[in-house]
Amino acid sequence: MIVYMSMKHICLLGLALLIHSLGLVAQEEKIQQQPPPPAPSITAAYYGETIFHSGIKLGYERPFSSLLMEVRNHRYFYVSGNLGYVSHKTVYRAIFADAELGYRFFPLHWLRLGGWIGIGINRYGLSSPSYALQPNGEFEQISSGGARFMSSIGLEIGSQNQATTSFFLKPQLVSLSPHNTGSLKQLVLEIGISKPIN
Amino acid sequence: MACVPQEEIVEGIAVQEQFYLVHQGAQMPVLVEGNTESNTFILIVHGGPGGNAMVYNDLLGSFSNPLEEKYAMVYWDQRGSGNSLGNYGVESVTVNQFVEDLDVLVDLLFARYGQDIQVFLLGHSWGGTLTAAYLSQAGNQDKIAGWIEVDGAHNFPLINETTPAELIRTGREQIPAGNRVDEWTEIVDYCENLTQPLSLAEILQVNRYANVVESYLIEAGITTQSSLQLGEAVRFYFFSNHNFMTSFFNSSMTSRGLLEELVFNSYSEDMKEIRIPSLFLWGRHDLVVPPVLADDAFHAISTPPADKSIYIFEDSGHSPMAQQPEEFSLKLIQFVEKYR
Repeated sequence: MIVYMSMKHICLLGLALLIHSLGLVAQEEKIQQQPPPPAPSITAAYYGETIFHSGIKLGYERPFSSLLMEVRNHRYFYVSGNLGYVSHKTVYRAIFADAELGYRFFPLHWLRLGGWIGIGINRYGLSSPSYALQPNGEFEQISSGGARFMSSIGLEIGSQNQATTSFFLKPQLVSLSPHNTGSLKQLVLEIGISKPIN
Repeated sequence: MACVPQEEIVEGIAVQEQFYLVHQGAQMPVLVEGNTESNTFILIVHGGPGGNAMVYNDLLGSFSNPLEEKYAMVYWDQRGSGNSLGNYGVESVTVNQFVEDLDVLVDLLFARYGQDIQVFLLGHSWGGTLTAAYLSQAGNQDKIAGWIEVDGAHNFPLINETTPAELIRTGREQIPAGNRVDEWTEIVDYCENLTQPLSLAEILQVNRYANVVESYLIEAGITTQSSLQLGEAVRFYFFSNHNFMTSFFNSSMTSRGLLEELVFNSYSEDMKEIRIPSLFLWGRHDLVVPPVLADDAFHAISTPPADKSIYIFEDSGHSPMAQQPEEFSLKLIQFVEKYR
């Protein structure tokens, strides 16, 4: 027990030192190198519904408004418009379009962190043949699917390089409704790149 | 009766075919797997409400694979269950709507695979409720070659009365044996303080306890470990076509929607209309739906004694197809071979 407590304290002390060191590094880097001003970018990402049901998302993002920028502290609002496609083999295929509002800050000149909210439309079609009973008592193969309102909330962690390609990872919770009698929540993971276009 | 769809019908000894039944706002996946040349179809009506049919296929292969060699197994995700999609109101979450869905699916199987096929219904847990309700309605049983009810919840008042008593009885055996003493003491104390009839909250709590003790009975060596393996479950939920988020949200929506209609209802009286061959398969140590329900079903239906039987799996709880899969498949095959 004594050994365990000692180890625990050592770990806590080490963690505190590490956080403190990172702070010092961040401060030093801020002094030496400020993150470049935000620029419009195009993005391309793997879009994994429930992480492993794969799709793709392409988008355009830009700083939201100079009035909302807090340039001094390197914190910016962004907006993005996106188009995507996701497939659950044998279940459904969906296309979607959404708009997102994001808030980013840069604890290190090469690191960006952020949060996003979004709304959009998701249109899916079933991947397997569908049959429905018709009024005449016969079954017919039909094309079936549906449209759903889509809202999302997510976090972002990424590299920051305004000159070349940056990488980012965005875990999100996406709500799709209507779904049966309510709404469906999906865990989504985006892994992508963004590239400045000016 | 519906006609055969224009799409080519798939026949073979190792068919794997998925399609959707679209009905009253629900888009319900149906997987037909196995030997369609046998012309014998076993339609799995899963538990829940809000359960998942694909579990019986993907995770319980030691039960379903031997059956697929001989027959065509039909795995149907009911509305608001498994990977089902759609858009409908809460007014469609009723036992009658599920019965109608099942009836349309049976008609679709005949339309798709031919009028000469034979369809057996296997209802597990809530699936037992649903199949009992379906077969009790006029004309439906004429389409069905045989009924297999597995730990089926066709009489909730009887469950509500029996489960607390069984929890007390089992707890009093387990506490002196030193097995999960604190947990069993809590359960026994709770059940001893209940008065009949139970409230909805009490029914749910008793049901939770009955489900929890399934693992205690495995630990105590009274029932056998489920054939369901952790690795398979991880593969199923994360690396298959299955979407565990859809399944999770479906389950909570559907079970909540059906709860109040179900937990005070009994279908035993209606079941006197049932006259088809029937087999009641139960786990001896099922505390969720105790084996007394097998006797209740056996006596409730009007099937001649020669064509109905009960078989109790001595080392199983609520899911004998998971705990004694080989024996379960064998009993099922014997029944189907007799009546197909």
